[in-house]
Amino acid sequence: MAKKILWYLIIFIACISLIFVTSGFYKALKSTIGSSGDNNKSMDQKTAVSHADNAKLTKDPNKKRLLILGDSIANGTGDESSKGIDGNLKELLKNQTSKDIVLDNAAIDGLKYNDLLKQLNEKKLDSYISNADYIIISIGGNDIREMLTVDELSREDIFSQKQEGFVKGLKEVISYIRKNNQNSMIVFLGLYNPTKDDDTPDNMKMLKSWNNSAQTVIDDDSRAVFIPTYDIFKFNTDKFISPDRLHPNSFGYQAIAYLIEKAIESTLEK
Amino acid sequence: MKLYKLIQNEMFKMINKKRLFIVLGLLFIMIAAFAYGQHNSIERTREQTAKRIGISASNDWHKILEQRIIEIKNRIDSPGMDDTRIARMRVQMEQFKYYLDNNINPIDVTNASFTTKFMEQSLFLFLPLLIIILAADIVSGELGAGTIKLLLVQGVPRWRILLSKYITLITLQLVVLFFAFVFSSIISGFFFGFRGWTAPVSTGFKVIGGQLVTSDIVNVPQWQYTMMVYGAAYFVALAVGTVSFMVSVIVKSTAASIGIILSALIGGSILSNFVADWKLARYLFSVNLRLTDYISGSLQPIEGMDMTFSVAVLSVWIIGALMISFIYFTKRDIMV
Repeated sequence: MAKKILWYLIIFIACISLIFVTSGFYKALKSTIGSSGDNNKSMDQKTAVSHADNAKLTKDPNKKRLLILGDSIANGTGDESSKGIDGNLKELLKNQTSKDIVLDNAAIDGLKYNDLLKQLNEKKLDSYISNADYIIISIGGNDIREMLTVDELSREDIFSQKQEGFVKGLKEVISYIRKNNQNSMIVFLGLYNPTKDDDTPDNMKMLKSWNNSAQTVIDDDSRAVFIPTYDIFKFNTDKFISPDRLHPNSFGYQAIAYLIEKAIESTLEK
Repeated sequence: MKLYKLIQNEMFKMINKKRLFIVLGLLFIMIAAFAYGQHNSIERTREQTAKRIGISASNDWHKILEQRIIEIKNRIDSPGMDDTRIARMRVQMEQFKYYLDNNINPIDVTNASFTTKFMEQSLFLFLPLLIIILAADIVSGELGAGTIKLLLVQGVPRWRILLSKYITLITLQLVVLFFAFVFSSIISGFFFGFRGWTAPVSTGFKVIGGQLVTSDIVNVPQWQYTMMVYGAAYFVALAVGTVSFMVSVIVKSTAASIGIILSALIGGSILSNFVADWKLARYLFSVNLRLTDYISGSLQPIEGMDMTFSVAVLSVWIIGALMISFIYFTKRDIMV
C-alpha cells in the first residue's frame, strides 16, 4: 500500500517537474538561440533579422544608435569611473535630446588599424553598422606608438611606410562602413600626445603629420568629422591623463565626450 | 506484460535498492552545506569590502559593484593574462556595468537566486554525478546479478524491457530535479529569506568580437530565469543519463560503467579549457554541459560555441546513445 502511494507520488512529482522543465527549456532556447549566436549560421540569421529590423529601426524617430569602434580609447580604458566615452557621451546626449540613446561598444584594447579591418571583415558588426546613426572611431594610436621603439635612423622611412598603410587602411574602413550604411555620421578621434617625456620636435612632427593624413581621409567623406584631441591634451596632460601615462582619465574622457557631443549636437533631432 | 506494469516494476526495484533515497540525501546534505558556506562567505566579503571602501558603503551594492569593476579592470591591465581569461573578464565587467546602469542588483543573495545559482554550479558535475548513481547499474546491475534472466523469460520483447528501464530513469531524473529545487529553495530560504522571485534578471547577453553587446538584453523576472536554468539542467541530465544508460547496457560490471562515465565527465570538464584552440574537443558531450552559461552570459566567448551548437551536440549524443543501447541490448547474447 505504501508502495502504491509512493508510486503515485513519484508520477505526480515527475509530471509537475516535467511541465516546469520543458517550459523552462523552451524559454531558455528562445532567449539564447539566434542572439548569442557566434557561429556563422545563426549569425547569418541574425544579420538577416536585423536587416529586416533595419527599416523599422531607422524609421523609429525616437531612437539614436551609436556604435563605437577602435582601440582602448574607444573602449574607455584608464577611466577610473569606468564610464569611458560611452558613459559620458550618453549622459551628455540625454540632456540634449529626448530620444533614446542606444550605445554599442565594439572597441578592443590594443587594436591597430589592420586589426580593425580584420574585425570589420569578419562581418559580425555589419548589422550594427547598418543600424547606427553615429559611428565613433578611435584608431591609430597603437600604430604610431610603435614608432617610439624604432631607432632614430630608420624611423623616418618606417614612419612614412606605416603612415601610407594607415591612410590606405582608414580609407578601407570608411568605404566598408559606407557600403553598409550611407547615412550614418562618422566621428573620428584624432590622436594626442599623452606624456611630456616624448615631447621632442621630431615626435611632434610625426604626430602632426599622422593627424593631418587622417583628417584628409576623413574630410573626403561628406558625412564624417575629424575631432582633434591634440589641442585639449597639450597643456592638460597632468589633469587629463590617467596614471598609466597613456590613456585619458575620467576628466579626459569627459572632455572627449564633450567634444563629440558638441560636434553632433545639431544633427540629433534630424 | 504491459509497459506500464514494467515501469512500475522497475520503479519498485529502484525504491527497494534505496538508491533514490541516497541521491536525495546527498542532495539535501550538499545543499545545506552550500547554503551555509554561501552565508558565511557573504558575511566575510561584506566585512572585507566594508574595510576597504569605508564602513558606510558596505550595504550599498552600487559601491561594491563599482569596486569590483575597478578590480577587474586592474586585473585585465596587468601583464601575463592570456587572451581567453581577459575576454571572459571583460565580458563580466561589461555585465557589471550594465547592471549598474540599469539599477539591477546582481549580488543580492535571496533564496530565489541561490536556488538558481546552485543549479548553475552543479549542472556540469554534481548533478551528472547524481544521475550516474541512478543510471550506472540500471542494466549492468541486473547483468551482474543475473536477475536479467528473470525478466527475459517472461516473454516480454527485449526492447520493451529496456524502454521501461529508460523511462524509469528519465522519470527519476525529474524527481531529482524537483527535489533539488524544493530543497534548495527551502533550505536557503532560512538563510537568506524567502524572497526575490520577482526581481529582474538580465539575459540575452551577446558577445561579438570579444565584446559584450548590451543592446539585445532583456530583463526577465527571477522565477522565469530559474525555470530556464532548470530546463537546461534537465536537458543536461537527460544527456548524461542517456550516455550512462548506454554504458550500463554495454558494460557488464557496475563499477566499470561508473568508472567509464565518470572519467568521460571529469575529462570533459578539463578539456573545456582547451576547447578554444582544439576544435575537435567541442564535439564531446561533457564539454557542452554548461548550457546555463549561455543563458546567464557568463560565458567564455568561444568562436562557434553557442546554445544552438551545444544543444545540437547533446541531442546527437542522446539519439546516438539510445540507438546503440537498443540495438546492442536486443542483439546481444545473454548467458548468465
